[in-house]
Amino acid sequence: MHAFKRIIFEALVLAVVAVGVGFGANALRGKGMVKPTLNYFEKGGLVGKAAAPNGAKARTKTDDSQPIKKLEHPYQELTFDEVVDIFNDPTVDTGHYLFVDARKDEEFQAGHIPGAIQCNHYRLEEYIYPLIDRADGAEKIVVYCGGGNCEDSIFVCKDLTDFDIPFEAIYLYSGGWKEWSQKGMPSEKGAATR
Amino acid sequence: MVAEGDAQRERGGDTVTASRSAFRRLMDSGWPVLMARLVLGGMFVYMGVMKVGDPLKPFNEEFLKLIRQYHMLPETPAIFLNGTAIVLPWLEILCGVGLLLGLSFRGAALLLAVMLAVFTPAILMRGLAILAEQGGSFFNVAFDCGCGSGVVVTWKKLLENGGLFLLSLLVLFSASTRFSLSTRLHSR
Repeated sequence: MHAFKRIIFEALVLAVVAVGVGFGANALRGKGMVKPTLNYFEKGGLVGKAAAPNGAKARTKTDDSQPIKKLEHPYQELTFDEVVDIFNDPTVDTGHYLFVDARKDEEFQAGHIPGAIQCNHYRLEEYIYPLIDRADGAEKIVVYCGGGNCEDSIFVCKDLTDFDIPFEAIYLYSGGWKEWSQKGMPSEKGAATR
Repeated sequence: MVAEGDAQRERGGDTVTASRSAFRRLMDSGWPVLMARLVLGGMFVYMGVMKVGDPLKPFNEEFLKLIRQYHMLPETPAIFLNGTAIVLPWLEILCGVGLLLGLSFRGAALLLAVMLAVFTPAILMRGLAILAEQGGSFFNVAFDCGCGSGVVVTWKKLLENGGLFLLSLLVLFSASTRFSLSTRLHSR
């Protein structure tokens, strides 16, 4: 009984030390820390209520190659052809249209839609302000991530609405980088300009 | 005839007793527990370090996403999910170091046994969910379980975890304290 109590005590001490070390090490990351009480996985309060404007319905997307879950979101979706039309629009460089890449640094640097701005939802403070400057007044903001089951583009859409970018200007390209690159569309390499 | 049967039983009994005492001698030598501690400790330090990454760089969101995929923790309040992502890798590292050094190693073995008892069925359930959607053979199901080793084949990971669970039980229930730092500290 004494030995059993000792083992439980040792386990408790280890657990308490791990909590202390874990939170301490997390604090050392500075701005790059996990914010303990921030819900990183909110998709917006309109999920499932078909609240997209202009009669567009909230969509549920499935992906054949990653058949794990259905992604629900309230945002307007664009098909590949619609995204290509925007990309080829002669006014694409005037700021009317904006492409936002919601993937992480390595993926963005390896290749992204030319002209896209990166926005990492999990390190929002680093990315959101330059994005908001460009997004404010844009007619269509096309947000994408890896495609498949990737949800980060949905989270970035929510971030944009949280920063008062009009809901009707935000469009989700759920085919994402996977579809764009697989169809041989132009790409650009290199780090984000922030 | 009866006497011959008794003699055979006696010989059999002697063999069992001899192998039991050999097993006990082996366990008392402390080597099996030491080997178990080194394997368990090495594995968990490695897996914990892989999850922590560079502690001075921004956190890797992948681990947070991978924990979420199991749907074992509520998303609100966020502290459950985020706290797990913050603490779990360090708990694994501390338990691993404890086992390697022989410091609080039974407590570490208990924690690892509990973690493995929770995570292994979770990996199985996730593998079965993927199988239900994808079809095909369970032996081909592979995904990133968030274990620190990237994409793994599910059945191999389950076997590995089963082995680690048995090793943690061996360390937990063994009476041997040889080759441990805590014994040396207490003997002073």
